Amino acid sequence: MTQLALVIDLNVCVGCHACVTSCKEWNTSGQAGPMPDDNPYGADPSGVFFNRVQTYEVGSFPHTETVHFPKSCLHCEDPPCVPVCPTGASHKREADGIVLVDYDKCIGCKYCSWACPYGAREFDEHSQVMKKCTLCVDRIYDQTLPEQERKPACVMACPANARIFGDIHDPDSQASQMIREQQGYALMPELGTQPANHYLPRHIRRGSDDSA
Amino acid sequence: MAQVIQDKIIDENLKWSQINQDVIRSMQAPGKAYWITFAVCVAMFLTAVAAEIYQYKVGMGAAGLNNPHMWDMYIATFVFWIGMSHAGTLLSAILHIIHAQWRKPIYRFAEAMTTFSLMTAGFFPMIHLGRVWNLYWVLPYVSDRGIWPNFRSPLVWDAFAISTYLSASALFLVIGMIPDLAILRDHTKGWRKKFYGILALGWRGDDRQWRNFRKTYMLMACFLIPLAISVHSIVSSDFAMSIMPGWHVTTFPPYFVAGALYSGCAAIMTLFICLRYFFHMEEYMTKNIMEKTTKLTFAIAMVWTYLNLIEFASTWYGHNIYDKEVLISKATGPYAVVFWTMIICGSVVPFTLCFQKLRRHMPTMFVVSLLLQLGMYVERWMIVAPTLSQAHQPHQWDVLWAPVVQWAIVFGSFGWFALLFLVFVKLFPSVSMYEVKELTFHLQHEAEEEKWLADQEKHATPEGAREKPVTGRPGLEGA
Repeated sequence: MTQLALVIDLNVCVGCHACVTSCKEWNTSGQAGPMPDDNPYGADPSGVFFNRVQTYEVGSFPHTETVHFPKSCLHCEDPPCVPVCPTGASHKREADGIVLVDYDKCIGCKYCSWACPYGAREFDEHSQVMKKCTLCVDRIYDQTLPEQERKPACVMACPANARIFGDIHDPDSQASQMIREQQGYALMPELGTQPANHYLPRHIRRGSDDSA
Repeated sequence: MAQVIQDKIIDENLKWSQINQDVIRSMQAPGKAYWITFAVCVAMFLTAVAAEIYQYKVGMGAAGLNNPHMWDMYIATFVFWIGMSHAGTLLSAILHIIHAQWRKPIYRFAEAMTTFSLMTAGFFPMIHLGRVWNLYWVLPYVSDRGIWPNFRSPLVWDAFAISTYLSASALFLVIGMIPDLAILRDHTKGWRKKFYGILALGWRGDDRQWRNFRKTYMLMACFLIPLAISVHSIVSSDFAMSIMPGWHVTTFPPYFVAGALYSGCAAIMTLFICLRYFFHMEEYMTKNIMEKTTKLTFAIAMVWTYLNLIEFASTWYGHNIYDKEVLISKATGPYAVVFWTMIICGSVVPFTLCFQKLRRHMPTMFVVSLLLQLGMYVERWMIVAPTLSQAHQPHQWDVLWAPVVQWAIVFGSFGWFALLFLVFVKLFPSVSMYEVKELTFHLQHEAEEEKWLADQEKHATPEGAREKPVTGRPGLEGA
């Protein structure tokens, strides 16, 4: 079974947010759009972003470093958000392992966002349905695009090549190879959700015992 | 054998005609105070309707509901009302099958409370829906749009559990009222006579009807008990089935059921005192019954406290860092005031129920019952808010104090509940007439038996002592 996923290299992510903006640009004009962006420059902005970069300060002074941690839906192999959906709007595709929301079936009960331990779900207050990263499902299979562009918008935009897209069940894919070679890890594996997205840990440690 | 004569539950010399008169009096001619209360309740309900319309127009953001706070006070209030509904079943069904006589004068309004609190609780899962107009999609019905509920979802279980419990408890309430409705049919005039005539379903009070009635009532009671337990277990699985810190706990179902019975008993105490004073039911809602209710409440409060402490202990000594952090933040974080209110109102205040003088002092009991309910309300909120405020990921950490829209809707739900209850007390007997008659009949015969035994002991003859007076069947001809 194919399991499409993103592999994110924390060594090279510079926190430029290009993935965030390109994601919003693509998806707001696609099937998932429009994605609200209320009060963007105000004190309390709110909006739907499928992909967010969280920036953490780790370690203790003077041995600190800044870690940029891009996070979107992890497309878990055993997603906790799917069984809780009352109408079956939240589902996992067998063909490629992408977890999707059927916006037509969603009644906006927000139960899936309760169930998701990663906080990956985004509620659209305008259309009153739950949305989330689709792994650009309306792009990666688009026959009208040149083959090298059939990748999620965030992957296309990343200037540092920190994002790799591929099938993690295929041992020969670039994604699988990088996970294998660079000790890629899943986020909170102890919860048993088996996230498909993986992170490549930082190898350069500037004197700090802590790392992302 | 001389049994210690217990304090009388009610006065056994109460005339049956007096019982009829007292109950019918409570149902007639609402006074000024009633209408003022009624108007206040309508105003509260309309506030909630206005808030809901506003939220419907503007979106869930009006209620502050977005990541990470998804349901907040709505789900807490939902659990509170569902919990309230359990006490009615406890009094009417569980105490019925164990033949606790003292339930008889007070179970009717508790049962009504069950039905009305379910009717209130039912609103909350609807209110928090983004697309409430598609609510019916959680029900299985045949359509050509390929919409079919996902039976693995606890929300679907909720829909089934609540609708089953509501219909069963409403049926139980109506069935239990049939003999009383027949009394009302025979004692009223005009539209009321017609109304009760239809509802009494041709009750004549003959042997066959009583036999079938008793069987049906017992059967419904037996059906309702596991149903009530399962409903709150299902409500707890809304939380326990997710893997959020503080919710993914195996003790949640019994903890929820204990909490439900607890808050329900406290609500019964409140309504008991209200009915006692406002409808002058002192002869029926006696201090002895109050004592028994408070003792029951105390026992349940201790069970709840135990389960609460066990949950804290298993989290504290467990190895789950997320759970432990949530627990610490509950006690010391931004919600600490609410947490300690819960502990004081839920686990310390019940100790006032240990003192007989306080148990028999109605104003104190009124305040205590309200404090217990406050404790149980904030307990539900403490389950919901801290977990959502401090979930696994640091970017989700956020503190939310409910905005006005949520408060208005929660406030209005109390108005709606009180409104239903006010209509009920004027339309239906809030004290079960036929069961109070049975009770006085039993008590009279017990008294006679005591007297007879005392006489026998005085001039004891060995043969005579073995004979007992015929106690007869309970007063079936009440209607």
